[in-house]
Amino acid sequence: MIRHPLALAGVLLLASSAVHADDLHVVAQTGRMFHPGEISIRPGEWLTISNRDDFIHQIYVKSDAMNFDSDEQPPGQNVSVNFPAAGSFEVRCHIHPKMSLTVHVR
Amino acid sequence: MRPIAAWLSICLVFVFCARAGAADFSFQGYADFRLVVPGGEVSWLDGGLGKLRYGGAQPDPNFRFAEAVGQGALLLSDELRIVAVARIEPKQRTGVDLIEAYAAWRPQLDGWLAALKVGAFFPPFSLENTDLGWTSPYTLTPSAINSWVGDELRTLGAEAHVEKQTSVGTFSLTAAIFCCNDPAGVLIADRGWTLDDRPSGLIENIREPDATLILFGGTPPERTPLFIEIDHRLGWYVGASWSMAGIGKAALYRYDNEADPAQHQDEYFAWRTRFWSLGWESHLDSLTLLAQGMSGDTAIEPFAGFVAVTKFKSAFVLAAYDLDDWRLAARAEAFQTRSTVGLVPLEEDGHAFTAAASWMPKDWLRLTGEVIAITSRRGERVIAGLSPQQADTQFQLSVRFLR
Repeated sequence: MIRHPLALAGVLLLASSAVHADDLHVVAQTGRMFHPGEISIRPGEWLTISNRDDFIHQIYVKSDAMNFDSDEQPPGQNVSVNFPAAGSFEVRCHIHPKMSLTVHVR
Repeated sequence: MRPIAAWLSICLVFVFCARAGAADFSFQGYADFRLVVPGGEVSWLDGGLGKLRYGGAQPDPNFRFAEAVGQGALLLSDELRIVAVARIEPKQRTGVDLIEAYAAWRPQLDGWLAALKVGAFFPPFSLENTDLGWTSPYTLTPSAINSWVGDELRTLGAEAHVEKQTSVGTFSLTAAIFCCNDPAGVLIADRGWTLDDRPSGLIENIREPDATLILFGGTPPERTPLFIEIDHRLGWYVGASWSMAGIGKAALYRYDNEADPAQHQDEYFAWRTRFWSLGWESHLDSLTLLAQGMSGDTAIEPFAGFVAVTKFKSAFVLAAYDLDDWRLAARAEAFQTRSTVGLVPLEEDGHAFTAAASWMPKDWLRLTGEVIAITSRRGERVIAGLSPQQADTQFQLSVRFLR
């Protein structure tokens, strides 16, 4: 257990830095498409998906290895998803079913 | 369009064009061509009391160009963009009309999403019409509620939105002030509810029903502006929403244009229009469920001491199911208007059922077949030599090329 406030702050700072480092993987939603449409990351890394359209999107992942379902993404909103295990995953949008992003985790 | 709204849009378009060469510019749009088997009653867009976009004034059946809509977005920085949405449509008297033109500022804040929009844009009441140019990703034709919002309402002003994600869902607050929409309410009172996917342009004037003009001693045809300032009072709306992934989203709004019903400009009145809107949305795997209800009233005071109030309400439920490249959608709705001063010809009751199937074989192509069956009773039809009770069916097959 962390008892000292400064120690706790240090842990939080490290955790925050780690998240920022992992946020290097960014996929944009523009024109009802993901750009790029395919990306490779390592297990445990975060993927940030950024709505750069002027209308709402949403993302979800449905597979045996992981499930993820986001709220609606208003224009300008980022959603970060962690992919803990290796495999290939399809990220889609409930609102625009033609949108598809393939994430290779290896 | 009258001065304030016109200047606002022109300034935005000017800035837009002036900066287009110096910043990131993106363009999206679509062109829509349709095979239409129209309803029998003359559409309200042609001066009739028909509830649908296409009616007895069109040949039956026909292939037509429905519209082309383009949205240009100029990214001035990561946080600031200018957006203009223009439309080419056969019924417009101007070749091109503006649908929206606004600047959006979305500052990057830790843990919060904030946005400020300034200009002319659709209010956020619809969970259905969320795509480019007030289109719906589920059907061609929106519900009566969102048809009306597209027909009569536009925010010409500023809207602020804040949103916070928490462990018990995402909460948002929205507030806006606006001007230049004082005639909003004239259509819901004089025409009633309709189902159409043709939102009014910012520049155009909209046809009023011939029967209403005759009822009040006017001479058809006549058109009314929608985006003018008459009483120099600001309107407002506020709203709140809650959403949680896997459960859904609820959104509640209150709108009041604060118009002074005793004011008029020439023959155009300021209609005091206010309403509540409550919506619900859920995405459950391949199934989407939407529901929305609206209840409000609109009033004018044509002479001192006589206030004519029209109460209106409507509700719909929509279900959509995705299956590979297909999306199937069905919607049921009911609507009503009532006069508080005994103007029985302007009262109506009705309901409609809509079924749509969309096939999206490519990112740039969407084919949609849609049928609407609508039944309504409106006493005003007697003036046009019709029975108050009418049942109509419209079929459309749309080919939409997206960019």
